[in-house]
Amino acid sequence: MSGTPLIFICTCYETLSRTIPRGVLRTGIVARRPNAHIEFVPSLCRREDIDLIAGLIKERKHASVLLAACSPFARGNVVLDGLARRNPAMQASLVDVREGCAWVHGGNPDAAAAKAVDLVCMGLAGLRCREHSSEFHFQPVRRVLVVGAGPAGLAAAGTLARLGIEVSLAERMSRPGGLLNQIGRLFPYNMPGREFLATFLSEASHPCVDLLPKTSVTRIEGDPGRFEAHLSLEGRDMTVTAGAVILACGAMPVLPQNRFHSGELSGVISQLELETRLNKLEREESAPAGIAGAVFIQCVDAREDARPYCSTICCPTALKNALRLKNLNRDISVTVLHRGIMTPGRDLEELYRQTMASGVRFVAFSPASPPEVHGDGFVSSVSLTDALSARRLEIAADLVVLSTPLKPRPETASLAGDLGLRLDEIGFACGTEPMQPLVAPTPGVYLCGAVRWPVSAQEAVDQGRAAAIKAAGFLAQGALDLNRLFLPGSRRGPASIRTEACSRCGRCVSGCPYGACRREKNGPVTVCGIRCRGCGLCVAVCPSGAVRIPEQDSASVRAMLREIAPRPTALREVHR
Amino acid sequence: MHAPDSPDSLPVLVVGAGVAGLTAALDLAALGIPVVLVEREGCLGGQAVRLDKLYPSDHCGFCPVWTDAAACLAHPLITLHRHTSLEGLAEEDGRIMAQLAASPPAVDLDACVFCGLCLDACEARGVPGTIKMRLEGMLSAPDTPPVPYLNPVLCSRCGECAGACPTGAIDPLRLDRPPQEVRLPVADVIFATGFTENDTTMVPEYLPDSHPDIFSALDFEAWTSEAGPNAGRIARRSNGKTPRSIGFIQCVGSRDQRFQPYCSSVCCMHALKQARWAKRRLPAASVAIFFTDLRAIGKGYEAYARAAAKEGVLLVRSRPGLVFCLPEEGGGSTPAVHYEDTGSGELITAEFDIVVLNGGLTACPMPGRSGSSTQTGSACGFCEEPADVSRSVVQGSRAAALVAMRLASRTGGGL
Repeated sequence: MSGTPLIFICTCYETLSRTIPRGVLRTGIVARRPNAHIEFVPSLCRREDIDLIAGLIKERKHASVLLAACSPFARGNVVLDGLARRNPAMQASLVDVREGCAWVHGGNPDAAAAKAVDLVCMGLAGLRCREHSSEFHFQPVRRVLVVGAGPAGLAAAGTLARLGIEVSLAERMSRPGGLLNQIGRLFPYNMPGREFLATFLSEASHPCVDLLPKTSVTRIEGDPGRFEAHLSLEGRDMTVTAGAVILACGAMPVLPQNRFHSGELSGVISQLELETRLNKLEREESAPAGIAGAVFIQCVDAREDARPYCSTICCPTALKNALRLKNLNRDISVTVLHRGIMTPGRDLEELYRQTMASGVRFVAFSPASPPEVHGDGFVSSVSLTDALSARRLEIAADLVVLSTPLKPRPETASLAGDLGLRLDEIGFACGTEPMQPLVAPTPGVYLCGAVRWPVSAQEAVDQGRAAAIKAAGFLAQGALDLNRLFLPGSRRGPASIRTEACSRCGRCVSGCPYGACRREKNGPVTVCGIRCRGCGLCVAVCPSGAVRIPEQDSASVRAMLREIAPRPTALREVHR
Repeated sequence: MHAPDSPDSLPVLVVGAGVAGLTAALDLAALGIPVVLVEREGCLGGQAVRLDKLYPSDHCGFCPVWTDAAACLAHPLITLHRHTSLEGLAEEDGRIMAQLAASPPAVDLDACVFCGLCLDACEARGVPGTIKMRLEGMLSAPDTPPVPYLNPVLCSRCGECAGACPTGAIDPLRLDRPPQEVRLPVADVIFATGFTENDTTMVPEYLPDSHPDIFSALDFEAWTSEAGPNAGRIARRSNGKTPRSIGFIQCVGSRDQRFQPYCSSVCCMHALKQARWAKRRLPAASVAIFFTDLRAIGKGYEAYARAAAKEGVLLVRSRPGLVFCLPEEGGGSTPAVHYEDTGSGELITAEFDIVVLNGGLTACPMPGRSGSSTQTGSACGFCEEPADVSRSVVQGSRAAALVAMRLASRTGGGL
């Protein structure tokens, strides 16, 4: 095996040679590297070219190859990737002598040639010092822990089971379903909640799904691919080993404490309380007694400075229940007091239209002058200023329904540390916005449903399925995919620590944003390969130079810089 | 595991390489399921890559989408067909046969090495200006140097460029060739065809297309984009001057019984984003949004709207009745918005140097969606239900999950 790299210079069908003649380039390189093996080729990027050079490299027994060609964004990456596929063990490096030299310095051919020679020599120096990270073993456990058996968790579990993956489904309560158990009808199609839930319950009752009711997750340890979750089943402790975790622990309703005389005036109730009453009335097929006027107040305890967010689902929920009231008794006058009706899309906007057509009245108010609820023991009326006409209104009411938002559950924060989750300012969990909203920063951890943001039941199950396929994809990954951290064709492994140089100061441990560097008691610091993203922060904070990213080692960068550092004048000439 | 090499494993067809389609394709391929991704345009990323910034992060739209597009291009199980559209689906012997129409452009970007030899040949023999190196093509690969573009009107079809091209990438005869029909047996179909901006001429009261300073939202995005013609500077299209005021009118052609009754769901946030960026770039300008309901309901959206208000973006709850043009001192004209101030009930006419019309977006058709049996085909992204990037990618993954489950049940067990 020859230690000297083989250099291929692509003339791009001789268009490169117009600016940088072959002879100039060869002389320049040989002057600095007398033993260089240089091959000029008219093209590198056709399939047959790649086959040819891969064969040549094998035949001449070179361990590494330097390509001087076009930008990686033009065809360079195609060549690198093609070579890596044909010969994974080979070290290949690419320098851009077309866009970055011949093209941008076309008006100054001498400088272009000098820069091309510099780049080739830098590439050679980098290749000489470059190391390969060792393969690391990744064999994930084919089981997923799903935390929470609401609609999102049930859909995630059902989907995974159908893809042949074992699931442990931990549910805090004695029966699955979550908040959906309390919902009689679902917007926008008025589907019975029970019917909707039944679909996903039956999907999740599958031999692959281990439903664990009355179970809370106390702690999650271990690494992606092999998480150890400590569960508490009615006080009994147990451990589940899972390759990935899907967090679906939902959200909880805010109760309207002391707002609009709730708890003080009879007839002022929460939206959830109305839901329960409507469920009962619909079951018994009876009409609501003693109600002539109902007033819904939206955005109670929401979109205020103390809770500055819109909970997404309260408007459609109010519309749905206003319609249900109207369906039970046409004569009840129903008024919705709102700060903008949030019904985006096709189906929800249609629900809004239907509700208006059924005779439900909508009045907008401004947060600066909120409605006032009046009564003596019993609620009697609501007064407000109509924000659209600036007129004062007094609406007779014997029922006032307060729409309150959902807020994060305490489990979200307590598991966030173990799972490396980021929480937003409200306390909901964050994914990787915008393209991977359900994917947590830690590999193998996924979110779905209201743990991330309030969602409708339909959206919760959609997210459950989406999180499930992400988790299944993660478990199907091989070590090779994980080694290729970013660029196609350029293998880049995790950071590695030279134990003998490590002073065990722990700066890399606290500096790593992904929890990849860690120290066991007083032992040496190790890097968890699957957590490492190759960001290099550990390299930057290490005072003893013990940490390296093998393919991006600072020794090789230094060697590359040395190629140009001794001749600062030449460098200035190029950039003049 | 799914055996990708077995002859029985037909690919899943994903129609549209916007954010939903890219996500669906990558999620399926991660499970070892082969995918054929067809895209009507030459570039990947759909509408999202045309956005200068994404809300609520204010990041540019290109990079996050580029990462996924690059992963799709590099994935050995994903076959991409650009300039190809789905014409219909047929059932043959219990299999789904996709009818595709490919209209390859004169320059095949997969073969082109951007060497410029065609340009030289054309300049020597052909009509000057026929071939131009255009940067717009950079979205196609998804990041390449300027690519040759053959102007079909100027081209004399002399063939000099084809003779000069070392890789056979350019062929002017392709300009005149009818679309190639391709039939492809597929295991399942995911529709992710996205949306188009409505023809705003349907809303005559807002004078669309009649004044250079009246923009559609996506036009305004392109006009003010940092990668656009003004490098991020906001200028009037009529005279190049810096605008003193910008008005955004919402629900134009949407939530409107005449055209589109539904809400496009992305425009409130889109206007808030454009308004915030306008205010950041032109702190002295007055920026107003005329909205019906300000629907900022997603994760972090309300905070974004509050920040906009705090930064001085005027939020006016009103649906203007009229946009008209007023003559300007020193010639020219400026648009004016006639609206009711709902707080006071007063009718107000306010001049705005730029008016942006925001609203109607129409889902693209999904050929063969209705005709196919209910056991196949999933839709995701805007073509299914109005959705922004964050919702579209979730729906893309969901569609992939539904397809993977169907395939698993056919093979009787896991993948």
